[in-house]
Amino acid sequence: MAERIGRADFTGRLMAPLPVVKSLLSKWRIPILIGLGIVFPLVAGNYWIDVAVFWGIYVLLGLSLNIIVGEVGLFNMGHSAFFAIGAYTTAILSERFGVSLWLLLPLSGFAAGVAGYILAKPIIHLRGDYLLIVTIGLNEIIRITLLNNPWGLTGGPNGIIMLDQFRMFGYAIQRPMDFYYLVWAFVAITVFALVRLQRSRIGRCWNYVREDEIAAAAMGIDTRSAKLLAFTLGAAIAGATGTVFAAKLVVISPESFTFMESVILFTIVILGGMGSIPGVILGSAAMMVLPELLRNFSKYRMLFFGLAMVLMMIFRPQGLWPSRRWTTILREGEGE
Amino acid sequence: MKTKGEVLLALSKVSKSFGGLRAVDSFDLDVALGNITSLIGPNGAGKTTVFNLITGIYRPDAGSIRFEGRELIGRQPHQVAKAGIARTFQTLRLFENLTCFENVLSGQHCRTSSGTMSSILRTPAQKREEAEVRHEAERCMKLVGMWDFRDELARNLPYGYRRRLEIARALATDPRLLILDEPAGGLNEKETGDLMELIIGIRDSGITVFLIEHDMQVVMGISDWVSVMDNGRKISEGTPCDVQRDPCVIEAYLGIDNDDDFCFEASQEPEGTEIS
Repeated sequence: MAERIGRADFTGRLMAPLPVVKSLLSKWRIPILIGLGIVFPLVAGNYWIDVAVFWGIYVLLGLSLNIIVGEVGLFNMGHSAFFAIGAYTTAILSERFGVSLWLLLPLSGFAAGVAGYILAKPIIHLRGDYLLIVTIGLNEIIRITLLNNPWGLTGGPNGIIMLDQFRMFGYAIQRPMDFYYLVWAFVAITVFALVRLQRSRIGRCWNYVREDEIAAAAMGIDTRSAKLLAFTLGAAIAGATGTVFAAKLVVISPESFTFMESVILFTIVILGGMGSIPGVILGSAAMMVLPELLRNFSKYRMLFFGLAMVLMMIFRPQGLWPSRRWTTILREGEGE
Repeated sequence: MKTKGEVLLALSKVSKSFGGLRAVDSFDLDVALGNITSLIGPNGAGKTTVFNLITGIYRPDAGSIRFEGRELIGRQPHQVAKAGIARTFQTLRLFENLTCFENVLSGQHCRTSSGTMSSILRTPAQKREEAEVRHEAERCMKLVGMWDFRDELARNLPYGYRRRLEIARALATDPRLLILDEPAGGLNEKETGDLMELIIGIRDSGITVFLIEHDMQVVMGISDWVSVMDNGRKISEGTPCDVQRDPCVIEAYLGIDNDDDFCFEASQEPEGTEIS
């Protein structure tokens, strides 16, 4: 008996500093993560920096699709179409007119946003799987249009070679490390904006529409324009990401924007947890970084992938990092 | 000036068919300002359809629906809400995965106007609006006695509180007319009593109430005016006392044979005395 008490005491003393560590971690976790992010390219090799660049690009795309699928519950499985519109807008305007990439970033976002608005307007009333089918169709139409080289603009299956780079004070961003900082800076800005949106009137109204469209309408929410706004905004962010992608890849061709790409983006959102920003970051890591780690097993990649999806749906249907509701207690700072 | 009998909502000759079924047939109804008006009738009489016609979920085939003198027909549900009509649903329609507080905040959406950019930039106007919205939602939740549940997800609430939350959410739209579709459905006696008090309180705060209800204790206890519907038509209307004595109403509810166990004055007659 005495021995048992002694042991409990011992473990108790051993665990004592843990809450301190925990509270330090929870308080400093964002600065720590940012610090790790800044240090990473200084210690990692170019290969892993490149992996992190593509991870960042997929985080951006995942975040943009998360607005549509996660926040509003619109099943869009043709998201790479908007990504394509952004990338091609960048490549065409840069090659033909020499427009600066910094200018093309918002411009491509705008082009993709307009396309998203026009394409979504007639189909936005569709529900669930019906919308899903139509968006798959849109994805294919855009891809095939690019393939057919309309007015000699898109270069057909060969695509476009875009030689310009982001330039800052006469310095071209082209090393993997430069891209790493560029992409993750965009991620930081996007996350910042989306978190603020989530906690505003706009973000809430998206969630109301997702939860119950009829009730949302009865509460005075114009569900149609709420959905259109989300679709447009999601398309615009994907379009702006297209600029970064074009700069990184140099060659833009239709094969980067297939239906499979849309499926991966969709999976990132579902895997991470619908409506959850950390979920998207984790989900894209699972989709982009894990396959790199398991490169030796690349033959069985799809097998692992399928198996993981089935297991997820059974054991954790809410996603890796489900979105947590914002509560008044958190707001008032009474502790977590 | 609020004179008694001033009409807030007027339905005249409203009809709606679904295929061959005339769900609502040339229906007339006036909801007086500051009153509690009840719409009763047997199951399938078309009551909920009337509510859906008013709130813009269905569009009537004929007739007119005027709210504060303005035509409502052709307006979308969100425009009806913005015009000042809030509703609850017979089968509860809460935002299940959101907190109670967020549920109630939804009502204020149509009274506010911050856009995407001002939300991202957190402009002073947006901040002020957010504070006002939260304040208003807090007031509505306290009114129905649910402030302690503010951070609970709606789906975790017990049934009686779900009903209350829906009312709080509707009140948060700052309505002039509150439409309740069977608010006492599924509630126990104590909860029903509390609900009656709440509804009377809402009326006394200046909001006109229009409700569908099956619980006659509620209808007869709080209504200022009762309208009875059967097969899509209005068969009777008047004060609760008048309606209870109307032979048409008794026939609609009990059938001509008088062999139903239904009783209007539940308080006076023991339940289930005669079941043939």
